[in-house]
Amino acid sequence: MESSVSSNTRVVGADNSKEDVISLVQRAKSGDLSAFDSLMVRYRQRLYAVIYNMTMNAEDAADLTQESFVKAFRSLSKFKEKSSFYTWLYRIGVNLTLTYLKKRKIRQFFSFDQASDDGGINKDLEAISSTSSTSVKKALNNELHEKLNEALSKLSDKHRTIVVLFEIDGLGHKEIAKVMNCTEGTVRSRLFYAKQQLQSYLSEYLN
Amino acid sequence: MKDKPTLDDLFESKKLDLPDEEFWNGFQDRVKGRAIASLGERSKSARLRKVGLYATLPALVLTFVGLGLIESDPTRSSELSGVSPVPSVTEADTSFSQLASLLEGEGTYDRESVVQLASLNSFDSFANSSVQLAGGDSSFNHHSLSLSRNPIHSAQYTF
Repeated sequence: MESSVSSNTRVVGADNSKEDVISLVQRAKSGDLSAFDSLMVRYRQRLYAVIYNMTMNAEDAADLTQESFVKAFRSLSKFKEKSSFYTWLYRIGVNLTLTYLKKRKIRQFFSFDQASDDGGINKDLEAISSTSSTSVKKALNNELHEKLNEALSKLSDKHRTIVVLFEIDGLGHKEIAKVMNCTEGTVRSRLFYAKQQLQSYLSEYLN
Repeated sequence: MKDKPTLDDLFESKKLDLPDEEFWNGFQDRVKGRAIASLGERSKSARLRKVGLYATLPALVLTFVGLGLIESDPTRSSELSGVSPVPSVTEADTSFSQLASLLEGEGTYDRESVVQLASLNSFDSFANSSVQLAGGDSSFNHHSLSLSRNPIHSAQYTF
């Protein structure tokens, strides 16, 4: 199993079978497109989710995810298999996205419906509080969801990336450190600071 | 008091925000198309680099060899200077032996002989002058034969 357990007992890594992944990577390296296809199927959703939550834009996320896989395919010969494939792939995706965000000034690019005032959000909150957890998901997909996006967009690109990798993708501190090319300590401190910021931005709507 | 969602609840909701299967089918096709195109681009550029390498070097070598041959070839240099081709050594030898055989046994040569000899196309020039001493019967003939202007193959004979 390629998955590992971090210090906070989070199960991370998408590979249920390390042997399968290694075999697929080796076949893809030798030009087997179907093997690369299988790798794509395995990781596309997670990579897309990370990029989407970094950019807050579905089209950009689709383009960048696509670009990440194409770049990975072109660079497969450079993958030395010292790290896991998903870490390597994530690094490509995250770096591409960070470069993109830097260029496009995503924080100004991001926009949300100004009409969704506090009253609307309070309605969602009421629905959340009065019903089961399934309706929580449903309600949160609306304005509250956008409030979270807004709060995330106020974070720096690197802080947001770490929050997304940890909270949404489920990677551990160690894996995030590899992807972001920094120390575990940096990951922890950035994560702590980012969550404090989010709590502060969303204090009005959060428990 | 009604409960509000936690930050974790919000993160959970974000996990559900994913495209449908139709999106992934199109996505997969687009990535494969681009991957195949990148393979083509890579092989094309590699092929161009190879062709460039394999074509340029022999062309350069041939150019230098050709230039070297032109400079060292006397035939080529005489052609370039507008002089008619020089007969080969073998031809010159043959011509000389023909001339020698003609000359043998004959003391004097008249213009007919000259004309006859001049018809030997391997001779570059053949001059004949006849000098009659004034007031006397004495006379002598002067024949001059030059085989070639090239200093290596040239010979001049006076009879």
